[in-house]
Amino acid sequence: MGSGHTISWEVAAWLIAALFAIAAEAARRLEAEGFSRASGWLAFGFFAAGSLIWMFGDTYAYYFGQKEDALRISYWGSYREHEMWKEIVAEFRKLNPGVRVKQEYITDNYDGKVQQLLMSGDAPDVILFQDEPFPQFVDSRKFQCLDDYCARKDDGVNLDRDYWKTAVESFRLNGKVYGIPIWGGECMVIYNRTTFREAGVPEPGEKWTIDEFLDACKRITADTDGDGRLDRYGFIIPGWVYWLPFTYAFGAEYLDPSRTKWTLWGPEAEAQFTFWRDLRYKHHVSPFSYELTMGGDTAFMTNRAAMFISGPWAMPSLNEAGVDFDVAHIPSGPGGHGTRVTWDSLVMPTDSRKKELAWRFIRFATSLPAETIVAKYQRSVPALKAAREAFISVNPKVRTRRFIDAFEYARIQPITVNWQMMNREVASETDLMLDDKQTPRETLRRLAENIHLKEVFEMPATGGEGVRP
Amino acid sequence: METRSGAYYRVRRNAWRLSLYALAFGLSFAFLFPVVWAFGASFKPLIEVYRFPPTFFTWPPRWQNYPEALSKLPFAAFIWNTFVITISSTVGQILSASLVGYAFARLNWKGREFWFLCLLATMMLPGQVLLIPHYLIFKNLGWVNTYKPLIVPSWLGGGAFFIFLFRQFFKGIPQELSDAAKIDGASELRIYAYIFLPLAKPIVITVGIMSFIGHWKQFMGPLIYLSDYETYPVALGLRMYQQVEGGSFIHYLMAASVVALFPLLILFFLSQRYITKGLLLTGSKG
Amino acid sequence: MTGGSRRELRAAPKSRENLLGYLFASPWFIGFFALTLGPMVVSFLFAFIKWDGINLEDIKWVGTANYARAAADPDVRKALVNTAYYSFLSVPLGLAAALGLAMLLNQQLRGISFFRTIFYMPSVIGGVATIMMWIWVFNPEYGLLNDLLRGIAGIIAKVGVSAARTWEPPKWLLSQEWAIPSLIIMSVWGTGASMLIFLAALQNVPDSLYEAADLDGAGKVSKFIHITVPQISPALFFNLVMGIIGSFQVFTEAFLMTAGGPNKATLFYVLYLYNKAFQDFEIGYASALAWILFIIIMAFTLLIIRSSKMWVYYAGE
Repeated sequence: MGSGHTISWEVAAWLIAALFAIAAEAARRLEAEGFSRASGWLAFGFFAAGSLIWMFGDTYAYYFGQKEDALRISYWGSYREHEMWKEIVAEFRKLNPGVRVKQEYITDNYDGKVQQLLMSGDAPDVILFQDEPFPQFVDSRKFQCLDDYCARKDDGVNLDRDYWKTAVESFRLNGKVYGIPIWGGECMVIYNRTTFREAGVPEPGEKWTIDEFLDACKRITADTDGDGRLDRYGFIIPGWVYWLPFTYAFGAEYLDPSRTKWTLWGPEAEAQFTFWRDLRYKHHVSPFSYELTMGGDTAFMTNRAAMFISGPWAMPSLNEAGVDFDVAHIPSGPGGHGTRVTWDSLVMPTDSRKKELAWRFIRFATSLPAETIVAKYQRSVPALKAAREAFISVNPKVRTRRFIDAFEYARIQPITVNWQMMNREVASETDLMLDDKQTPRETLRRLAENIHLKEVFEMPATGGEGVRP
Repeated sequence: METRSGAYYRVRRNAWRLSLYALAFGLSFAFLFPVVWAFGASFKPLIEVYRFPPTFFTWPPRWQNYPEALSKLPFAAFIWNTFVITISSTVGQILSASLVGYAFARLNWKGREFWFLCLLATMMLPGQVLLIPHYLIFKNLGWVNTYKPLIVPSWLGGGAFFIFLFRQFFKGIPQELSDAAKIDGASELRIYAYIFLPLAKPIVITVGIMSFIGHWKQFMGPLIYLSDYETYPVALGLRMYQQVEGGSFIHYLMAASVVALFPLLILFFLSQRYITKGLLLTGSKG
Repeated sequence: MTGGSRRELRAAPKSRENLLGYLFASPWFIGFFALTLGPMVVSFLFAFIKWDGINLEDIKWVGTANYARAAADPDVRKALVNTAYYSFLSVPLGLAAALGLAMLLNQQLRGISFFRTIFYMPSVIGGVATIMMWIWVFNPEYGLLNDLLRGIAGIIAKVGVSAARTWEPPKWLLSQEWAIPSLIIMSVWGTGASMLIFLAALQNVPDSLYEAADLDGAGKVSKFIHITVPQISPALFFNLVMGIIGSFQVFTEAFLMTAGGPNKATLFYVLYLYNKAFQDFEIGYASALAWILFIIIMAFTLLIIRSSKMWVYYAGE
């Protein structure tokens, strides 16, 4: 059932069909009065028999033929990440010469495809998986618990010692490990050095506060061509998930540590929503969405916006486009310092038939040689602490070290099985607030009274309209 | 008919034609927009794609986009895969849809109206909820990771849309035509193959083009059923240049898209001439 | 056909036609039973379960709870209203645009094949280029559409209508009120398929009918109403039914361009269904939603088919 077969089957079928068509035409010509009944039925018979063989040959092979013997690995990403996986697999095969590895590169709708493969019992042996849908999938008992593998003497691993803390936590549910972290990254301030230079504003240092951040935004925002319209902005307001660093800086939280109770309520929560609203309506340092042509990163790349919030995954495009950018820390606020970190891991489905081999690959892909390759591509921070130097040294033009330093104050997102729903509902309400359709306070109240959130979280008592949160 | 007012009619006709031309040109501009933009973007460095205010072309063009975009992925293999899937499906769709359409339009059989409603009904259930059952069926047939889930359904009726289209067309053909053939002793199969199918040439070509284009750009099916990168059709392969995280490489995407879509435009340009001429019904032409 | 003795066959030519009908339609029957009816029954049963779509062992029977939930879900109501709004505007406008284009292409103009290719191009290209272009066109500040509207407003203001001076064009995709109209404009632009079908139908209108009308001295409008429309009514019927079925399931544009926003203004029914099925992994609830939509579309289609006997003209009957 290899790829080569699939193609040659169809081609063979077409050649046969063409031959029959020629034969039928010849028969028709021979008998002047037209297509003779017998030759017609004969051609049809052959065609039908051929298609049945073509169709059910694979069915036969599926039940009685040889099973796939390669180790199957699935991942998503751009062509750059595909190249990275090719390198990792090549290194793995140097160490394990007899092993065949099949790379299943899924270019879109990754979670849906993995869901389907798991459901039908046809999942790859190693799956790259991200933290957001993770609880939902673990809930379905389709991911192998890896505690026993980690505890092994010969090829085990000490996750807490060797990997970044939040990375391990992201894939440990109810005290059990279901995925070995491979890479991730935090939200940082990514700034365009050209705009800072043009505006004569010093670049951010190792530490800064929200007030200093706001001050930089105000000094950069300008109407450079004098047409009465602002054309250089300090900061681009991102989607709400990227607000989390500032939410933490103001001392607010969406959920309590048990992640069952909605805690986005009270003066801190209101202060952080007000901060976002004010960027646009009070300080005028952020463009309205309609002033951007194709999204925030476009404005950033073309020097019309100085800062935005993103992770290391923003770097490949920026490097490719040749933008002069750097990375700054998240400013600290009244509630301290924090940022959002997100991780990807390698998991093994419970019904894999090659668990030993899969584990060997997972161990390799999360060990130093492979994580050094990960570091080289500058798309994410390696989850292995030992690969930090490799990650920092690849691109001397960008202070990627700050991604590593920020692990000190990074927190994982309030992910639950209902993460996607929560994401949509909060996005909808915060959109309204940014469009000045409702105040920060109303936004908090509407969220606390949201019918979908109410179904899954314990909500605070809002006390009706107009009550101060 | 040219009489004293011939000159007047000529002027009026010319004015009418001129306004039609103006209209056609105006509309062409609106319709050409994305094509010109995509074509222009395929010659830009990435940063210029994002340039503000947006432009159509930048100078000097970045010719390397093409060789680079096509060499970073196995483009020739993608095109070949697409070709195999598309041809196999399109032929099946034309043959089976016309045959079934004929049955619904010209044959009298018990339950025809009921089954026709069933046929229409198949389009009304959002396909998203059928994905899981479909996948389970094809998986148990051992067809996952082959082209069969993409090709075989095209031979089984070819979809309600095309069946319906053929039925509509065949219904419009005068009954006397098939009656005359029946008197000559022709079987239904013969009437279908030698009278109706040739008459339906404009529809065959219309269906052929739509089916070809649909399969050429088909995305969901291959995404669900294929997992070997080497067997991907081009629509799936192009996604490598466009990811939410890890970067969009629009200049490569556009260069590869221009090459991938070129066959479609050529095909349409060549075949639309037949839609124009489209055989008119014999007998009614005069 | 089972057990038809020779005598029965001779006596009832009808049964032979029955057999032929089923034989001709047999490819569809195979496909229908194996690939459509079966999965539809499964999805019908899914509507009564709670399941995350990952582990087959986790299927739980919940009876009609999913339907009860849909009835109480404010987002379902919102999605239905949005979808109906979109359908009832985009279908007639799309039909009119497609027919207009087809009639233009049916003229005896030089270079018409060139225009024909161009008008069909949006349907051929589709995808990312189209989406990026529309985002650009609809941009309230710098987009082409609002540049055009401001220009027109400027001219009107010069004529002396003072209201036009302060008039602000809509914010299109970014405003709750104009997001759906924006998507409708997009859909009208992509009517290539309907246009082709109208074109094929127009070309099959016998010239003799127009010639006869010319002899009677009929004008262009009169010919259009009395000859063209009845002659192409099967194509009109086809495009109308397809338009209704398709527009009620509108998904891709909203999925790619607005993600249902702003504030759920473009939350279409199938988008909501998709979110439930593939983001929240609620297969059961999504199936129930699908069947509700199925009933609604079915009702509209039946209405059109019932009425078609009054306005669709088939030469073959």
